[in-house]
Amino acid sequence: MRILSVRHTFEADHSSSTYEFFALDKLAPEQRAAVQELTGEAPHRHLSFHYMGDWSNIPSDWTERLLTLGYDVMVSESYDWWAVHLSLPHDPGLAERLQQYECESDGNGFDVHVAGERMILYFGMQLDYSAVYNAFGEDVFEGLADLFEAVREELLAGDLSAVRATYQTYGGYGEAEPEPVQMSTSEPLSKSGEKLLNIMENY
Amino acid sequence: MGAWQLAEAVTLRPEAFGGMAFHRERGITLEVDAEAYRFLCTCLEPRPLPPPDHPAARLVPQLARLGFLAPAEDGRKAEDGRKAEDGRKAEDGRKQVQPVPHVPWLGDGFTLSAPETVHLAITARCNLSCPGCYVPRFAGPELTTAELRGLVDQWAQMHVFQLAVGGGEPLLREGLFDVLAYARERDIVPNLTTNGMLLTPDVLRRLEWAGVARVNLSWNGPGGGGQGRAVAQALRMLLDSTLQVGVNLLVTPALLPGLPHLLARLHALGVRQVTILRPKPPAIPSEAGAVWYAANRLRRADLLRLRAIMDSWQGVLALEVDSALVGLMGQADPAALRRRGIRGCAAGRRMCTVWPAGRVTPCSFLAGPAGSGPSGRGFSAGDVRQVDFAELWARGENWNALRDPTRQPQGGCTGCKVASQCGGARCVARYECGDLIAGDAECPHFGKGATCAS
Repeated sequence: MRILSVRHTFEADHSSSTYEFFALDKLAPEQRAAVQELTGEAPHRHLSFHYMGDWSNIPSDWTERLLTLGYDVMVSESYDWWAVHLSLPHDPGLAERLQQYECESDGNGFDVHVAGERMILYFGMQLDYSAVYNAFGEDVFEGLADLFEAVREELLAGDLSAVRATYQTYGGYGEAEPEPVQMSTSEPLSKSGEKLLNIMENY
Repeated sequence: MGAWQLAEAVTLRPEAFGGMAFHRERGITLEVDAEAYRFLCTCLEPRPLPPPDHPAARLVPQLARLGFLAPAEDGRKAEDGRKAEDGRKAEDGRKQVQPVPHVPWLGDGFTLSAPETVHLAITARCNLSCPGCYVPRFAGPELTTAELRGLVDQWAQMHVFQLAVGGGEPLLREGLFDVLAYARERDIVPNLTTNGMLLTPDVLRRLEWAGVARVNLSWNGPGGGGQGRAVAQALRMLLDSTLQVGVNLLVTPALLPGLPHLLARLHALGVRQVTILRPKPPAIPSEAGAVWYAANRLRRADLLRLRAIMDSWQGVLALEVDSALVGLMGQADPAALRRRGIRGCAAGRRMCTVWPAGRVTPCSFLAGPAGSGPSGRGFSAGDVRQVDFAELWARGENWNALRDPTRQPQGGCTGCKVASQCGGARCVARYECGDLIAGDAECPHFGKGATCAS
């Protein structure tokens, strides 16, 4: 049961698109040089891009390239659609477990793909800004980034709570999804998973 | 828990993919899947909020925020399970229950059951002679006001959302306000495009009375009939009214150097919404039209320059682009464009043009007469004086190439990641390449030296 699109016709939509990249560790000199060459921006550990107007947006290959150049978390918001990308070292066993929960459809849900030596995880969420604001206050991007830093740590430790929470919210819609995973509802979610589920369910 | 109901100002319409909902006061169009559409139909009557584990529970807050659901006036009615009479007006004049919408033809999802917007060229007459104008001065006796009201009735039955009324100069047309007001009465939102030369305080009052939502003022740039001072005066009047105001700016290579200055001037006047229009090839083949287009078309370098200017105005003006400029968004995420309902050229699938004498074509720029278009039969689907509009729309005669979802745009559009949200301008493809589904050879995302073919 979904809204497929929202279009404003009388008035131009004043919304915008924001992309914020966070690196957990300092970038290596060669990574800094590559980021500078790609974006023209000073390669700080927090890199931010903001666009207004339909015609202007981040180049389509930047997300993956930056997430393989030392950035670990990317939080973006575009016209009420929120997305978080996580970059993790490629671990075939973990990738196989994660793929069971792939459920991306129309931008909502979860998927994972391998990019060289990294795995890029995507969490798409249709959220009301006020719900995110209520959860994190004014620094909504940093708040979500902090939450997903914790999620990333849990994933590296083998805890898939956040992915289960995403599947619980968005799974079962896509036509090409794999067979539904056996969700263990008795297994408690981590604190991060609970918080994410709460945000997604109360948008 | 209080009861909720579909807002009075919402028009629903089933489609092959589910359905659409249009908010007539906010101007928001939603496309929803079949399940969500069924839920919306249940909200035609007051109903309690669904329980948290109901699939609709996630949908309700967003629908409420967008204004599509509102608290029912008498929540107890829903909880008691009592129903208001179908279509009956309450004592305060507010409709309690609307009938579940039905359309005569469902479309296939790629082509809608009815146009979202009908472009109504209400008259061919004009008080200006802008070079490059696509409207022939005379093409037979114009539809009468009674015939136009009859058309509005047909569009209302099909749940058409909006009318974009233009000309010619529509303010020259007798009966205009009657047609606009009747459309509003039948829950179709009327909008108007004018050159502004005939706007007076009295005209503005009548436009407000008729329920016009938005007035777009056409600015045709250098050679546009010396509009400058009159447009500025008209803009001031419009900005003082209750109407939504936009400026349609036809950007030509000659206008580009002065575009930043012009945008600054419009901003200083108080304009906040500007729609950038791309020069299109002549709708009706003519030598003068061909000469004008050759001199005024935007080539790749012009489009890149245009985008740079638009980028510099981010956040200051609300800039929109016409459907033939969606290619400027080539860097955008296609899924994000899809979610925002951006679909590029939708001629004959989501919109169409009705000409002053009743001919129906996919848009204002695919309007060639017999001898042009597919199979040399032109692009006319027929005449509303001879055939019901709904039948013309469903049949879409001569529009097959536009309506075939398996025929993706070719040439430089092949492989473009926003091809399905943009598709290039079909009228440009037809003009440049003789093929409606050729690539848009002027798109800035084409490589240099691109051709029509793939």
